[in-house]
Amino acid sequence: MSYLSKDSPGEVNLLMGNEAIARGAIEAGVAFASAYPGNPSSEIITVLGSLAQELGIYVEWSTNEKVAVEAAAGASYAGLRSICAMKQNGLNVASDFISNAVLTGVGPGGMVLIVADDPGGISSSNEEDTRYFSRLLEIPLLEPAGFQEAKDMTAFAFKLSEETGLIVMIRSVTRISHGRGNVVYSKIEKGNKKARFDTGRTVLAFPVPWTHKILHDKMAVIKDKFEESDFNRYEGPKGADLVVVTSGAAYLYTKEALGLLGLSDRVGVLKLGTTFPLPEDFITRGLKGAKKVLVAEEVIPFLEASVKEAYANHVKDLGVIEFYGKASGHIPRENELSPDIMAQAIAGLTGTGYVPVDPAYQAEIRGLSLPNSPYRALTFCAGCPHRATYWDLKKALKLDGRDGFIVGDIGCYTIGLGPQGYSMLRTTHAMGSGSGLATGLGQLKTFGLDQPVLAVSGDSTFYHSVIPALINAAHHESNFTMVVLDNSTTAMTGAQPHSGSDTGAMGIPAHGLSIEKICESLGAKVRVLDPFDVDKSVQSIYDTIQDDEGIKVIIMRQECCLYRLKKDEKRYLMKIDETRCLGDACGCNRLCTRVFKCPGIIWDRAGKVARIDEVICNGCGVCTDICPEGAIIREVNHEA
Amino acid sequence: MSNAQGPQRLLTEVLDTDLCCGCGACVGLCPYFTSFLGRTINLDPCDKEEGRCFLFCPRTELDLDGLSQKLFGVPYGTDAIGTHRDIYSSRAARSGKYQAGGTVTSLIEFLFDEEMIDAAALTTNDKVLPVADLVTDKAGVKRASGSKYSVAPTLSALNRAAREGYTRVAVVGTPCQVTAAAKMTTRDGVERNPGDAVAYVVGLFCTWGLDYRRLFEYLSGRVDIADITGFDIPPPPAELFVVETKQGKLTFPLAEIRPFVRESCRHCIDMTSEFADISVGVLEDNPAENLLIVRTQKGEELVKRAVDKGAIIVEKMPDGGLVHLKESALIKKKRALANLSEKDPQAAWGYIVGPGDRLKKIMD
Repeated sequence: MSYLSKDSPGEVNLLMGNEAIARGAIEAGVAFASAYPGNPSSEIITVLGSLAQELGIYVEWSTNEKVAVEAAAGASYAGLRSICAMKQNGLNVASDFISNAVLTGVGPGGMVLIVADDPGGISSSNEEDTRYFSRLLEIPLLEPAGFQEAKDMTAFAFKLSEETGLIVMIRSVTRISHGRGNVVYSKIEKGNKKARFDTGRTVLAFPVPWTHKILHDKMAVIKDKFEESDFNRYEGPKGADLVVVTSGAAYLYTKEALGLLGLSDRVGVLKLGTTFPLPEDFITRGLKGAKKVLVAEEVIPFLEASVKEAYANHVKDLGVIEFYGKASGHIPRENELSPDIMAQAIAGLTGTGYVPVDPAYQAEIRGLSLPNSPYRALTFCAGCPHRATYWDLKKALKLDGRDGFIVGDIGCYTIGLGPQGYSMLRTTHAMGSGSGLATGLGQLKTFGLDQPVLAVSGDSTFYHSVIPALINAAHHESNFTMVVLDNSTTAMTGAQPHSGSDTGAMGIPAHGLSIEKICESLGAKVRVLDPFDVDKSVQSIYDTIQDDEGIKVIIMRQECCLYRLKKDEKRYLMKIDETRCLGDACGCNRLCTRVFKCPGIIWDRAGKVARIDEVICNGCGVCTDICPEGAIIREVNHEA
Repeated sequence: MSNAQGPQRLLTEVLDTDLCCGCGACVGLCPYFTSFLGRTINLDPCDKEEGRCFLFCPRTELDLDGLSQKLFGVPYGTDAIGTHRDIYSSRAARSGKYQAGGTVTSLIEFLFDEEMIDAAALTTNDKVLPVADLVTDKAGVKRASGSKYSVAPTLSALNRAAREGYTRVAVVGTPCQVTAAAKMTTRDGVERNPGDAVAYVVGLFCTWGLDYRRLFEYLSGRVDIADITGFDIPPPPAELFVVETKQGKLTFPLAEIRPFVRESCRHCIDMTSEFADISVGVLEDNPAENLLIVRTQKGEELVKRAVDKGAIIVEKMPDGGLVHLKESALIKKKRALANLSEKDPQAAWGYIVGPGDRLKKIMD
């Protein structure tokens, strides 16, 4: 039994935020969970998947977020409590369904949507703030400001969903999802595990004005509940001059800043956990007597706009209040907040002298740390097949010489934008966007576009959203080459299985779908290559892009090296033949370390030769084919 | 202009300006340059301040006087066919199937027979693409015989030979290739200089070479590319480009093919491989014979020995027979010099470093 599945009310456990969310779902008797992996949300489903058989629940990694949210809603319609998790980008994909589901309502089983945002884009291509989706789609929004709340809100959200028939959204952020804190357990509810679809009910959104009115009536009820919610509270002295209105992780930074400044007894904190619909009466009570309000939140001024709107509705009760936040420049509009940023903002508004960190000390720290820390580029792992694929693509495009280019996608291979991937990618947008761009670019021959067009995607991305673009391309006979970097897993988010895998989230067999068969069924010309076989791959890629009729698919198939090494030993044992490596005397100008850039090879400054870092090297063997002097020796590892 | 003599400058001054002749001098010295379907390709950025690629390229800093002094002991002259000791008509002593007189094939075979070389950097057709061919025995020589109409990276075969430890290599090449070989053999103080392995340089006559890819773009749709067996340009005034195929000969107007002449060739002043030990071309009035120009003492000794041992038959050329050749060579020079000053009005003669007085005289 896992520490997450123990029915031990009152027990305190140190949980990661995503585990706390999973525990909240378990306590609520969840029966169905789905997601497409994406950091910082991924662990929720990983955890539930690992407990699925023990708990008797169903868990899946869905093909994409829209399918995930629909699958969870299906379970809800059949009376089961369901949870669906995604990162911020995923909500864009899923929102189409949700915008309709708010009018139809979900089923008798509560449905909770977890969206983990990533302020600062630590593991994302953007720092989209999904809280606006709650206003746009009109779904209730909860924002946990800690690990206990992450669990408690999840359990609460199921009840609220069942009471209102609406999907309830919980917005986490990286620091909540990936931070850890103590969580007090509650009892695990059994929850309904008997699924039945009520055929007496037709789920529909028509007539729209009527169902929309029902939605607004529900929101009014929810607002009243939120007015009384324990997730909202006022802390600090009553009638303080300055009140900080905040939610989520920003609440934690605010508390820490007030402690640093010694202002906890002078400044009020209005901590909101239910941020849409806004509990306006609660807020009005909290702001009574305040002269200044500072709204603290990350990225978009969602709360700031909402609170100002609420103030406008209650201005008679509140009198003149000055608002500070992003509009006033006190809180940055980008990136994560920190206790330091909050301390500066509060110090400025209270006239308290605050020097965050002595600038001279900061300079000293920088002076000491930067020269002593190794330069680390955003790079592929040693032995990563993507490095080999970009090496192959680079050479094939150079030989072709028509200025061919590659449009990119989202995955580990996005590193192809930078020098570690030989700067081969020209674009990156959303999941599947590379193939979408390519279908358009592939139609431009009549406008004089004579450059070969290539798109890359990962295997998981292929199932997620490349297929519709390929169908479009096949139907309209768009001319481009789709390169699928198939490393047999969803590597970037932690090696989750995908629709091509033979096991799923629950660790039991799943039906893995063949990328080549799917592509062949579209009439694409398909080649499967091993990126480690450099010469053959270069020739094949070159030959493929000479064919300028219709869609061509190249599957670069080689297992993710980290995934592989969990199961097996290194394929090759690598070493440098020091009698052959000419070092700086060679015309190669350090091709292996300077250009190929595998971190498994290092330049020995003293000996002026290349060396293998045996700890880092994952034994792919590709560098043997790169060295012009044949100085890098690969020996088959018989342990593998 | 930067003082560097490395790959970055080679890129900006030669590859980016289309001055690259595709000779292969920079290919095979390092992993950064390769040749593919007639084009020299830079695969990855290299930041070396000095590189053999730049030093040996025939389209960088070509010091005509310097080369001439080192090879012939005299400054660069104004004779349109270059400095020479003797001129002969020549042919292979043994009969065979040759493009013209078979002099080059016979001489290289002779050099192998006499163990005067251990390898030869030649050019062979791979189907119809001329490719560099490192030949290491007499048996391989014949496959390289015959004219080619686009340039091969022949010197990459020399670079490979040097890397693989051959020490007496004969190079047979076009004027650009011969110039690169001369830059190698006359350059002192360069480590791992492939020029150290060069035994003989045999030059070919060349008016221009075609861009392989553009030629094939033109031919595809007109000819089944897979069926092509060879090309020929019959002597003037035919003005024809002949494509030999399995089904027979097809002719195209030469005027349609001329636009595919490499940009680099329009900036080449050398028709007769002026920096070779000996140069060989087709004798205009008798296509079954070669014209043989002997330039160096080493070349003279080679020819004498080959004649003495019965490998080739030579006959002194009367000076009068060279009028047309000299005329054509001069036209090529004038055109190239004009094109060079047009391409870069800042630099008087582009990549050619003087001698200004004699180049001006040629122009006049």
